[in-house]
Amino acid sequence: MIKEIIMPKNGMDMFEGVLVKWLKNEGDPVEYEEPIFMVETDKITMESESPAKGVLLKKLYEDGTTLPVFTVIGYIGDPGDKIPDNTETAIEKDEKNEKQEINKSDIIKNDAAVSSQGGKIPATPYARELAKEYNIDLGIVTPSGKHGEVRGDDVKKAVSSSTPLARAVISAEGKAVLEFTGSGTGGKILKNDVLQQPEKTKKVPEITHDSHDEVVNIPLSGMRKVIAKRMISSSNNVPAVTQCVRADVTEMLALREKINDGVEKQDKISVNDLIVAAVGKALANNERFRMTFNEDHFELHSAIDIGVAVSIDGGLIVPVVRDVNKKNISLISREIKDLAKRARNNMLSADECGNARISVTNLGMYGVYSFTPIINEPEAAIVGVCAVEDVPAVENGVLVNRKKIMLCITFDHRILNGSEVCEFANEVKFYLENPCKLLI
Amino acid sequence: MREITYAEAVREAMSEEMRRDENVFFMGEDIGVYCGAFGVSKGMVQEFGEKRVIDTPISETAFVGAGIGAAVTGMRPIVELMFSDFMAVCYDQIINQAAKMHFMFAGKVKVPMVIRTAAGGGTGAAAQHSQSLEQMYTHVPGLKVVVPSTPYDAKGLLKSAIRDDNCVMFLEQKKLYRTKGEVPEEDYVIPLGKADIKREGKDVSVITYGRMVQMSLDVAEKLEKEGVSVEVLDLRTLSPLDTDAIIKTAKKTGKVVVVHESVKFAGFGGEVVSTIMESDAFFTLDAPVKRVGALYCPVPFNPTLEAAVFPSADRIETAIREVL
Repeated sequence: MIKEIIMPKNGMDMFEGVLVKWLKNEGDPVEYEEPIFMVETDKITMESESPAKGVLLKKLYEDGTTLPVFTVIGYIGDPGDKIPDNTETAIEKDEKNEKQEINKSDIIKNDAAVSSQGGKIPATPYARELAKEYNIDLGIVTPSGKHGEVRGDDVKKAVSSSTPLARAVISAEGKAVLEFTGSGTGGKILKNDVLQQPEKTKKVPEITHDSHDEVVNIPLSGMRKVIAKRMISSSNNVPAVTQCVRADVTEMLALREKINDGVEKQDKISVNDLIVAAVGKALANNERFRMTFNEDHFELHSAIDIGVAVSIDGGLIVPVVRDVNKKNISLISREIKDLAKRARNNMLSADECGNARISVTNLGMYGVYSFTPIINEPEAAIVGVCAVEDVPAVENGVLVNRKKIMLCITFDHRILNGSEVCEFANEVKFYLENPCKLLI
Repeated sequence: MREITYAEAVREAMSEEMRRDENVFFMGEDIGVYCGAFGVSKGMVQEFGEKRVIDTPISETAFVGAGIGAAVTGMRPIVELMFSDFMAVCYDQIINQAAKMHFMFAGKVKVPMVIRTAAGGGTGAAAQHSQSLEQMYTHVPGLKVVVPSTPYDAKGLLKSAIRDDNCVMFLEQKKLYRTKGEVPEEDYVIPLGKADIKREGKDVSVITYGRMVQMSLDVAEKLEKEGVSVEVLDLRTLSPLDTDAIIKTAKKTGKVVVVHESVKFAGFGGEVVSTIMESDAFFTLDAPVKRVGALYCPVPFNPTLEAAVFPSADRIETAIREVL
């Protein structure tokens, strides 16, 4: 029985994945649920398992190909099974889907040589012939000729980097193909790239080489792309306010020292672990912090799930400690250590990320005094933890040294008001300043 | 295969044809004991005698006219003009008589004559001894025009010219007389009207003939190292012209440079370019067609100035880069 191997969809917001590496060769026997290839999603790299027992009959794509989810990437079956002929590539699918629309579309011009932008476009005879053949408006082709004329290769480039329908729309809008960034297979510009992102379109800058500044293009990894997308979305969509509160952690540090005394290094608890525990308690008591904003209503969540930002090579990842309120500090500490370690080794599973109510991000180890973290949507807030500082204080008329820490809380002002955040902040502060309350 | 010079190849073609056909004879200025101004006819008077290798007076009109008369009566004369520039002296004989007679006498008369001559510059021979005047003859219906670029082509084309029943202008390149190349000892002919791809390429076509062929090949070799693949088409015969070969190479690469040693203005290159423009090769052109030719200027005696007037490898390379 022949079975399709597909690019899995490992999360609601996963639209494409990278086939990082096949773990089996064509002809290799595979067991049911045996890992057969590595897939990189927006968030993580993980193994993907075989849908059946049999032989890997066919790989349709090479290592390193980025593919839309649910694309058939290979076949498993018994030796001698016939592989279906209609192994159309995703590119062909893109074009086929759009072709059906084209038949309905009347925006394709018959006279390709005359641009929608008016006037005659300077082009070589060869470029004109190609434009006619591909039914492409010469006005949307970026010329490379010495006299500003469109040449044959320019047309070929425009054709290979976009679908026919996308070109028709570009033509109708009076723009050039190279102004758009493609999201289709192999970077092809699809109709939606043109329709959805008119503001984001930009001319590909010419790389200039002056004497002291050499510019090198570094492609975005899947993770960097997602970080960029999320940050822009959060920055644009969330009315964010940051409030800072200072807590005296002298007692807490003393308690931590007692707890860690004589404990193996890997079992020692950190300041961050204690802060996560304190935030967990405050989160349980302040239900507005467990809300998400959904157009005409708030969604109130019950679970006390906290994201912990982990800086990793090439990006940032936020694994989640679930049910913090039901765990003691040493368990929280162990979980955070385990999640961070696996995050750094790219070993997290998809359900270990996302769907937290609040995140904790800690720059204290870098001596940061204050910062304004960006909310990890759709969470209501994020707690930025700063460095512990020595602060002079007067106690019974005597000058003493106290240890203080700044917490910078950015919140979604659609969900929370400043006073509500103050209540939350003061509660976190209370637990940090009265750490024995954290233990019960 | 043995290598001989361009001059030796020409002599071999004449000698072989004279041995093969007793109607073939040879006349011109100082071609006998003196062996011609470039030594082409060395030993020929000794082999064939003064009746078949005839030294003429210095009167181009007289001996070209005599050649036409002999041809009309059934002989196959080879007439040598010492320098192609001197043809201007006998234009009436060539243009009004040799080229027209067959037609004026309703096909009852043929003029199977070859006018061999040393053409082109690069030898420091100044304005009256350095011209390339092929475009003067290609414009006259009734004449065939051949410009060989290698010893091999020279022998094969000259034998075809001698056997041809029309008046053939055979324009040897004086700068090439000493160049060597492989030439078979046996009898062979190269048909007139057939161009030759001297180098296959895919990025750009250089269409040329005569002395510029080797220069173009040198440029092609240089550009190959940069990854530019240059096709070099040697026309060999300008009339009749191998238009199929021109159109084919233009379609293949879409980028064409036409190179000739004669003056670019109103030169033969214009005909080559028009051949492309009038054909469906036009639609495959991906750059304006370029011509490289001599400057519009009488050829200077001063060697530095002479070099500046004629096309050079540098100018060919520049033109190729402009169309790439």
